Amino acid sequence: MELRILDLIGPRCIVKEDGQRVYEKIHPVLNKHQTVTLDFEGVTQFASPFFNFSIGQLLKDIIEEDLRQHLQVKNLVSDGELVIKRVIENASRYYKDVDYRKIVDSILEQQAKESQ
Amino acid sequence: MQVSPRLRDAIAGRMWEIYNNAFEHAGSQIGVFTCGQYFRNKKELILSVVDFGQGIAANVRNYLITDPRAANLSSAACLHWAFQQGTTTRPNGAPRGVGLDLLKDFIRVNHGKLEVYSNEGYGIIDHTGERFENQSISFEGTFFHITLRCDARYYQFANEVSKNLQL
Repeated sequence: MELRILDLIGPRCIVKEDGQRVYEKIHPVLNKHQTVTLDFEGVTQFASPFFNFSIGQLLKDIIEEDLRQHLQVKNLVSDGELVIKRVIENASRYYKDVDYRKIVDSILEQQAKESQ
Repeated sequence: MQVSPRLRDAIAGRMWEIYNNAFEHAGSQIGVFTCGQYFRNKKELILSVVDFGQGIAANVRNYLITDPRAANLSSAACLHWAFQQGTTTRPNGAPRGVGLDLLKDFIRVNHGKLEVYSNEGYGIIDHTGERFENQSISFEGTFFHITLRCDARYYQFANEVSKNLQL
């Protein structure tokens, strides 16, 4: 399956609602282990909420190796590449359990450094 | 204002990260306010974004409320945490937490400056690094003040478009 993002979303891939629209189209296909190609030709502006919802969210139930194998991206400008790579890197860590205690520990550690 | 289309698109994308954060996290009852000015001679674009929500530190303390120590976390330390990659106070649903990190990288490469005031916290990020401190006054909300250099020399774009990108 190939999806032209310019036709579906337009030249700006910014908001989470647009990301969700892409997710709903590609998630069932990727779940069947079929290949999806996203064509970004003509798309010029990018922000993380779009990619968090369209791509990052896929890692909730698709393992990273399968995603990298079955999701192809083409005609993406360098600024978009920067955002998508950061989002995938973040998403693979994201679905692990949140340890609130560890977060407080790390902030307190920072706080201790401040008061030195 | 004259900037290359690539730089204009990159600036717009990073600014969206701020607006998204303001609308998603602040809970401001009266919306988000923004203004900007371009200084032609210095080729600098100054942008300000302010919301009157609960503030970043209050948001972080509220998120960590199950730990009794959270109430005593300083605003500066909370701000510092919020600006690291992958941190978010919305742990459910789709992944989050890279917006401020992307903005930070852009500011550094651009030789720009980002200042943030939120609750008692103040932060400054520029190409020399980042610094967070506590102030004696408190602002209920969050104020971003961003200085960007509108000069493509400070932002090396890779010219190529990835025909096929390996994720």
